[in-house]
Amino acid sequence: MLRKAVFILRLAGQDIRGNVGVHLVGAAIIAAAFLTLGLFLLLAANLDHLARHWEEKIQLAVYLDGGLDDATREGLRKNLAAQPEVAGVNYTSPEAALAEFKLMLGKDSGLLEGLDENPLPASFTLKLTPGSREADKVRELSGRLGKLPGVAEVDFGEPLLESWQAGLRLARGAALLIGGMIVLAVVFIISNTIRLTMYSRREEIGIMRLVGASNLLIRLPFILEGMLQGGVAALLGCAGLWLLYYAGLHGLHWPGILAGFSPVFIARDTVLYLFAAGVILGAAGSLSRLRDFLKV
Amino acid sequence: MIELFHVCMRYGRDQQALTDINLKIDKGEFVFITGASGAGKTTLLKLLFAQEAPYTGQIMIDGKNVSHLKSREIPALRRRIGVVFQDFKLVHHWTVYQNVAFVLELRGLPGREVQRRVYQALKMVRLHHKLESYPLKLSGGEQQRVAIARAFIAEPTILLADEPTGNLDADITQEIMKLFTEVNIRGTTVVVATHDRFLLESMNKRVVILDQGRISSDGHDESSLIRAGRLARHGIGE
Repeated sequence: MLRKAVFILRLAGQDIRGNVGVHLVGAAIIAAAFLTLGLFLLLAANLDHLARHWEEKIQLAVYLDGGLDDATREGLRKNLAAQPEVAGVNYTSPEAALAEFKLMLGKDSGLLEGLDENPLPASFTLKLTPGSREADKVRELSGRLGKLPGVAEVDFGEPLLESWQAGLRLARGAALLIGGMIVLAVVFIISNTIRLTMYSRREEIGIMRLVGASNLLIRLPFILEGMLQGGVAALLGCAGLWLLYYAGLHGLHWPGILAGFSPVFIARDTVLYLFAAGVILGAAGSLSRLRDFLKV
Repeated sequence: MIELFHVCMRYGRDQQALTDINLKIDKGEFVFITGASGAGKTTLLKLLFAQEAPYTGQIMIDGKNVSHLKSREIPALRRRIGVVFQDFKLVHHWTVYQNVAFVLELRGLPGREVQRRVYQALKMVRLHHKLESYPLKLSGGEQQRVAIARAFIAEPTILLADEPTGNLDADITQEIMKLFTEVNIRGTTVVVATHDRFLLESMNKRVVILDQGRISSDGHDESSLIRAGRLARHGIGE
């Protein structure tokens, strides 16, 4: 058994050495296909990361009735903080709200000078937990909080949130579709590259069979080579992707609506999945093509 | 023992390669198959090691019907048969050693035994100094000798050879035939397809003549004079 395993490994090594050129060209094409897939995954990962970054900014403003005493207000704060969807509660007094409003108005803040009394109510600003930022959940929470004693109104910018999340759903659907197409193209390119590699070896496979090698013994070294070629090519594609990411995106900071967002590389799990895909496609491609050459 | 009963072979619809072949070759026999180009010599050999399946008829080897073997049954048959192919069939990116050793490694022989036997076999065909050469660096005759070494190294019960001396000079031809005779004396059945008239006349062996896919003549225990006349009548080697 061990002798057979050593024999098969040696055959695989012998064939890799004897066909270095074919293997290198094949691996380069497969690596390029994986790089293309990786670029798409990198884009998708960063869009997702950006969406999460923006979703963190989704907040709920709970406006309070006028004239609440401190104890009632503190009770309300504790009640709000105890809600499972709430990650943090921040109190804004009417005075602070007015100061903030003046700051927003800038040079037009003089408009507020004529007011006899502060019209702005006190409020609590609620940060939401990551799983509670969908429009339906926010709406349900808002309805629940609006019924609490001492609460005048709850605002979460409903139209904006809904159109943002509808846009996000559309983008994710489009990404899935494009991603699916890219995956199909990559699978097609990889399986055909391996088929071509195998085609260049058809004579050798025929000879092995003619001198008495069993199909299994012929297949095993080729499967090993296919797995190695696919796996190495996937890792090369990922390495190329990382180089592109490091040279072009890593540590980049943007102004405007992208402020505070820094790009990320694809997850380690994704790299492992790509490697596994390379290994599996390598083995499957070798197997499917071998069947055609084993008919002698 | 090899037996063929009413074997017909055709390629496609029209090309009849062999017609109603009935042939019995005893265990340990040495037989030449000859005939003009396209007479069906190579096809006949291909049927014996199941590279082709007969269109009709039955082929028995050592009592087992090998006419229509399943794909997974073929390797076991081929491991009992050594074949010298007309086009050598050597793997070009394997060394001479690796090409010859492969058939022993297939049988699971230990490394030292493989080394010893490969060296001996290559010495017999006078190529032991080219162990590490690649086939494409060798002449046609040398490649043929590597193919011959590979065919008999595993001591097969049957040795088939398709024009084994086609690329060899007279000296090497004599040596190869001597080698085949030795293998035959040790009990291996030898079937050689050739149209080399000198070879057919000089070796005192049974000669089966094929003509357009049919056995036209089969001589057992004939004198060399009768054999020469029979070959001349069929235009062999002209």
